[in-house]
Amino acid sequence: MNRVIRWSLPVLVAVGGAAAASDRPYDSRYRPLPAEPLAIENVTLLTGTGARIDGGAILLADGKIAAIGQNIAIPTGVRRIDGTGKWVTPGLVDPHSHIGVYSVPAHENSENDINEVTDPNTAEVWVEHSVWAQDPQFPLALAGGVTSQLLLPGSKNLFSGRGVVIKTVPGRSILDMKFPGAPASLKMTCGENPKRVYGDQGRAPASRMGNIAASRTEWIKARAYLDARADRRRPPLKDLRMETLAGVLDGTVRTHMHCYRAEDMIMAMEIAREFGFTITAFHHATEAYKIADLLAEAGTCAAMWYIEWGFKHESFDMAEENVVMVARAGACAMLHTDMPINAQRMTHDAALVMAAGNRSGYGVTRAEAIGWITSAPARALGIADQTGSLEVGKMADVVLWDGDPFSVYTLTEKVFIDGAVMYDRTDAAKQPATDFEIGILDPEGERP
Amino acid sequence: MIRLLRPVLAAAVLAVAPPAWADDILVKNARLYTLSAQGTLEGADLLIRDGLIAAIGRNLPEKGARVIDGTGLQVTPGLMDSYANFGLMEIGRVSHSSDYLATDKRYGAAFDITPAINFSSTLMPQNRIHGLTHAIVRPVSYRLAFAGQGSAVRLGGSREARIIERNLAVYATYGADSSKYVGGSRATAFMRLRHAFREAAAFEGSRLPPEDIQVLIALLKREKPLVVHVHRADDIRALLALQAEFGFGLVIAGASESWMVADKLAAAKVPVIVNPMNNIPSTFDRLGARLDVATLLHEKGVTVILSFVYVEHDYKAFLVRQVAGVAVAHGLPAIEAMKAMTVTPAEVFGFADRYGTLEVGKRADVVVWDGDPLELLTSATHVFIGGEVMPRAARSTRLRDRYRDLNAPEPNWYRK
Repeated sequence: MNRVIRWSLPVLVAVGGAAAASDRPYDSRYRPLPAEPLAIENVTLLTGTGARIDGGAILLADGKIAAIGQNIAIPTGVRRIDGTGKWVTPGLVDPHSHIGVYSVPAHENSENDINEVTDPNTAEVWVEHSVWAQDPQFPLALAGGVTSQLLLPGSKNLFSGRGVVIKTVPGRSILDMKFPGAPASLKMTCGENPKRVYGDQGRAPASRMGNIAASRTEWIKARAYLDARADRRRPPLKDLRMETLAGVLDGTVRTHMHCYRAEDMIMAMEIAREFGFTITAFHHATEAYKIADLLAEAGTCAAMWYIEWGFKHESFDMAEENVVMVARAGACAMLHTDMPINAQRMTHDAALVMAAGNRSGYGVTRAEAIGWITSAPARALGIADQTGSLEVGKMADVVLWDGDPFSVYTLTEKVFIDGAVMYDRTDAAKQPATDFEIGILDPEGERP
Repeated sequence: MIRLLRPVLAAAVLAVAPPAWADDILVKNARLYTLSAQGTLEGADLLIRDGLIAAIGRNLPEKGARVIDGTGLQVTPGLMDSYANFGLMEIGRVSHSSDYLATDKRYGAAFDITPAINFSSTLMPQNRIHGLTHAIVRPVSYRLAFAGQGSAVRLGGSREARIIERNLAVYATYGADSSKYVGGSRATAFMRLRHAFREAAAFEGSRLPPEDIQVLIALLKREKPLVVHVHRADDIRALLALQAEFGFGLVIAGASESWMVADKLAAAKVPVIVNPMNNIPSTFDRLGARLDVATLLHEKGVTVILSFVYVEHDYKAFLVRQVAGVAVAHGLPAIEAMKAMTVTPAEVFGFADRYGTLEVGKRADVVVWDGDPLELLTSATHVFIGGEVMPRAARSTRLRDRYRDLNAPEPNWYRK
């Protein structure tokens, strides 16, 4: 009886009349949790901007970083944490995540939410409309110190759709998690995937040259759409697919492109040159070290792994120093995870790359390496003004580690987002469980 | 013969580097994780002669040996991946380089993957430079009750000595995947397993091929173990019941929810191959996956082996030491973690007489590290297989060197 009443009310309202159309639908509804001012003292800080402060302190207030340094004034009454033996870094930023989209537990009707495999160009889809906010991988990434991430659609299409930048916070839907004001982005793909997926269907593209031709054809349409849109007297019917591509051409939409091989990346940069835009970042970019100078010249970043390689022919030419070699050529280099098993330990990948770089004589420090998983991806995502580094005025997205973050034995102790404790290894009340995880395996408990 | 010739050879080639095998090698003043009853030795020396560990002690004589100053260095046995597909797949999505999965129904338990192992695989040097010297290479199958048999191999050294033990275990998959492929339910897969053991026990009137029967009888005689890939707690219980009925040797792999049945596994003396890093509940069989799984098993007395466990991980199998580090970060004693990727699997699979500890008389499968062997920032400085110095090169280091200087005068093809 109750149910009937509850559900009939909104229906009545809806029937009652049309609402005014919002000019900003799908906007972020994220609200930071309340947070008390807090100071962490006697701690080693890696700022994400290349600096390391030993025996320093950081003050978080009003959700922001209020002060940082070796001798900062901490107002009386502010709670203090002794950070002796501990380290503080910016909250980690994962520029390539599929959590909530390629969700777990996997099942027949989960794996298809990541790719709209109906056309090589599906720039009209937005990955945020696929996200299951109860994916248990979100809290696992949070416990690993990831405070911001770019969720991307998959890589089967040349143009897969829009990505979305989120904070790793709880929600009833993605709208509660969206990073306020983060720029829009388009996921693109080159190489084996699109030509295989569509070639197998007897459609274009069925080859690498087909990939390029099909891409150029879409960009020509996008240029025409952009020109037509400029005619304010007779604008074209709004085309969701072309809106995204036109956004790339007018500089409002960033581009993140799945690409492994040097030849594919070079050809993609030629397309960008032809149509007058810059590829924000190549992702995976196994062979970025071969073209690091060209990436630097184009202002294009590379988001890489430490060692994922050989799972397909185009990912065969791995070098463990890839990230370091790209960084040393003056291009922007970062690590990405793609897989939640890595998202829980981005610092491990940074440490392993650092070790490889130092074996090869590149002289990598922790202060530099932390940038690959904080400030560099924040810049690529367009959120570096707000997060990704320990600087006064930035969001208090901060991780307190129980030791050197580049040690295999070190774990996150506390993870702060906008100054609020979102994860605390020492406090069971601050160890989140998604809706999926409660009452499963144990009706009175949570998933372990 | 070779020994007698050595002084002559050494004299003849004095001006150039001596062959890698020619000298005795003495690692001096290092920390030795012997992983044997000797424990961990500080400031100790280890002598390699004729492919074997010839001496362990303090202040061993340097005479005639190539000396490695081990000050600040740490030494372990070569590491092993106990659940690998080495040489059975070069590149994913290149189907002709893949041999780990038999689809021929004529070959079940007896399927022997050994002839397919490609010892020229680029994955072997890539892992070897990072201290992985051994692997147990196994077949994979979801469609059949039994995948076939695995073999223990060395990832370097003389070609003749690459295979340590052929067909040392039989592999099967049970649970979510088997229910999809073996008759629609995990219960049909279970019945098929049980039926096979009953037929083997009876032998007479068998409709399975004789080779498969022979292998199953070897299982029943405990000549080799059955390794079952399984995650869900109740599925592990079902397999323990099957083991109790037929008495074969059982090893559980994957084992996300094994901690929930740790007491039973300990009582039945069933070892478990796990990856504590893989705490993702990626299927409904793995809802209980957790980071401290190895610790919980160890505390209940279960024998723990560490590996990445999932298929097609061989390209980074050397990071089993990261798996071990994560296990330690979540409570497993460090020595247990080191044993779990060396001597423990060697004991479980029956070749600990040849490999797994630093002990006099064992083959010199030895790694020298520049720090804590489990730490991420640590590198292997020397890798020996059967006393032979392994080269530091892999295809990845060659590519790195080729592209190190993007302004090099000669184009890439000529930079070797």
